[in-house]
Amino acid sequence: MSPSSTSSSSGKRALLLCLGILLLLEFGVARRDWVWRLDPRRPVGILLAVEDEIIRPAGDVRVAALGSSVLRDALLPRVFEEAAGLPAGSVLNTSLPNATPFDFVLIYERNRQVFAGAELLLVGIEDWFFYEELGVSARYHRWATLADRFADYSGAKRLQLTVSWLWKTYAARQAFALDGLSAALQGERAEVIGDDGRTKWRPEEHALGTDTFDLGPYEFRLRERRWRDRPLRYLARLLELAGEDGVPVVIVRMPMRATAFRLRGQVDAEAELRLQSALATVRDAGVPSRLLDLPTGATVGLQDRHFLDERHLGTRGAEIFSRYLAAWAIETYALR
Amino acid sequence: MLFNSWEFAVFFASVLLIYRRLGTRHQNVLLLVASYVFYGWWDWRFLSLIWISTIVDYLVALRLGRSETTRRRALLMISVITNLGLLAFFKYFNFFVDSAAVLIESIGLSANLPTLRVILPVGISFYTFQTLGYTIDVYRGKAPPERDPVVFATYVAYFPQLVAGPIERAAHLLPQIRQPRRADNEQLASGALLILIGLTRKVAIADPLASIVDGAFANPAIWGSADLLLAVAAFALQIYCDFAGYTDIARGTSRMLGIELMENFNHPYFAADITTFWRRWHISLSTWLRDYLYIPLGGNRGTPLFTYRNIMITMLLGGLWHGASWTFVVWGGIHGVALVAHKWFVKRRPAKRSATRAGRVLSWSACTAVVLFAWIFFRAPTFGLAYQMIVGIGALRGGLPEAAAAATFIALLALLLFIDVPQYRRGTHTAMIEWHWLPRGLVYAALVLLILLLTPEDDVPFIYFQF
Repeated sequence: MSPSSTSSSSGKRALLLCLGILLLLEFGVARRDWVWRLDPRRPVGILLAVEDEIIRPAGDVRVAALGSSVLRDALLPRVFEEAAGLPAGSVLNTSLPNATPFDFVLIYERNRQVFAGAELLLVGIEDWFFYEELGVSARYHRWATLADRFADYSGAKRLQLTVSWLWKTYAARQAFALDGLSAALQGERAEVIGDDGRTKWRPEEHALGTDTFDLGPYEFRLRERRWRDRPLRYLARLLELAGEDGVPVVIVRMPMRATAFRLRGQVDAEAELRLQSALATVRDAGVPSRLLDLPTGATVGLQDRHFLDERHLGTRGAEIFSRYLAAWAIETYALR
Repeated sequence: MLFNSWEFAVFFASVLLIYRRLGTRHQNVLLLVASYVFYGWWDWRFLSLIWISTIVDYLVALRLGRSETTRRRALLMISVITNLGLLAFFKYFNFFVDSAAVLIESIGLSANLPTLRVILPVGISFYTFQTLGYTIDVYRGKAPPERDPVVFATYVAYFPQLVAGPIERAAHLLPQIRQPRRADNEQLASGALLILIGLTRKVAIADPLASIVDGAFANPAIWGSADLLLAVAAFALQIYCDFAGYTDIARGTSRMLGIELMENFNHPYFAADITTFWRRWHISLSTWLRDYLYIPLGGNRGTPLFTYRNIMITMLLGGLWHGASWTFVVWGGIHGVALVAHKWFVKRRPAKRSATRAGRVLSWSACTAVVLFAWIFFRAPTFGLAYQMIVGIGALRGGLPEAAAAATFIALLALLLFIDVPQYRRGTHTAMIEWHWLPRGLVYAALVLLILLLTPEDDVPFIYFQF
């Protein structure tokens, strides 16, 4: 055998071994849910944790909520239940950090039997859903269909998303990352959901924020803004699903700190118009839904100090908001 | 289109697939079209600049081939003025205007000179030098003029090395483009390995190091001395891995197309003295500067002082080539002074300098210290920040560096040594190919996974694209 053919056969063996390892990882690890659960603070891990610890153990769900971290912090299920006179465990807050309408549809579809039995679905809507610069989340990489990927994006992004659809090892890279392993080793897995039925990763020790807040970075972000309409497709899909299940939907436009709202009006006049136009599209979708439009906390009785930043409420603010929402829901809907 | 993007993966796979089925003439047409698509992907308007360089140098070289001595110099000047004119306008216009304004104001006059919003076309410093080198070689009679316009246009725009080199010589690249070629399995395998190593250097080493470097250089005042020193060392690795990684990918893709590009990096940080460092760092630029600037200036033909002057001019201009900022000139100046000092030292103590192991270690330490010090000026956006970095390191304030940053640095340095040491020992960038198939397969899989795990959502451009 010549040296060249020896080297060639050795090269083929090395290549086959490499491919074998990659295929083993792809089908033995990356396509299995446990690997995504390694770090429940990551976007995919947290959804699985919410499903395991909030949605599946839930009993008779009357009110379900879908939103981002803003609704997660603002809606206290136990306070809502008490204010609405509902039994404990009947209000389900499945809101997740950085969740957008894509995630709402995903959570609803994956847990349809739970949502279909609810008497009311609260959906928290915010202006940032419509910001173009929003990155593609790991949840999108993990679960978006190929059709979604082609409908939502174009060019190089579409190519990257096709790769992550085909190759879950690539999509799972955050779950494999060292901090995920370190979180797993430290046993943080068991500490995902707090006693109040919300995920624990929020500044829960803060009852109140401050009267003033540094809006400088926020102003900078506003000036850089571009808009997109993609989330509307998912909102319409969510309304369709709820409509098929006969679940009334309330679109809650989440309140902002009043000073942040005013600043946004000064810096980016288009923002409010875009959001209103998006909400109008939802309103015109032909599915039973209502819009609870709360641009600032004023209607609810919230002051600036109830916010920890420009959007997230502290515990005191969350209590006020939850009671307001409960009162509004009882008055508007005949909850059992 | 970046090498570290999925677009490039699809683009290159498609080109390679078609390329291997074509004859030489059609292969060149394909390479030319692919190169224009590759460049136009970034901004198609700037293709016109490549076309200007290509047309001018093609015609000038043809004329040089049959002109009388008296007209040859004028023809060469057309090429020099065109290429350096493009470079001067797109890269240095605002720099010259700003510098002139500062000079005028420093003598008490008011200066209100206009500046333009000029975009720096990617790769302009590389392809203008490459095509200018060709014309000079034809002028000197070292290379024949290329008559085939497709071959010449491919030489100027060849996509693997278009945007960040290596700056190829006509005598090396043009004959390869003219000749029939087809990469054999060995070339395909070693080319793919070079791409894998290049991507590892870029994605798994250079990009993660940015988190240590960027914070410290943005605001040195808030960091401790050890953190700042770590940031400088991290930048030294970052820029090496970023640029050498690009070169590896360029050479790997080209090898798979059956064309060998010159070596651009030969483990420069293992160099024990500054002269050797420059024989191993950005080799295509340093040899270009040697052949087309240093030697025409007189090189080392004359008194030592005359040689030192030539070294300083070459290094100062070499610094300026990197960017339109005086900080780059200072970076070049520091290296110039170090080269002069080394030359002077060697002249006084020939052969003794690195006879012992301790002497070699001392020499390597001195060389590395100079290189690290110079990197401060290369990376710092202003002299103020460079000064803060130096003062911050010298102040010996704070304690140990941040543990996470230090651990990241050590892990990435270990990964780099794992790649570089076998290459250095075996004297080839594809040393891994000689390993037993078992460790090879394991290492390939580990590198692919590292690249995947560390690839950010958005592509991170190569640092040398800005030059």
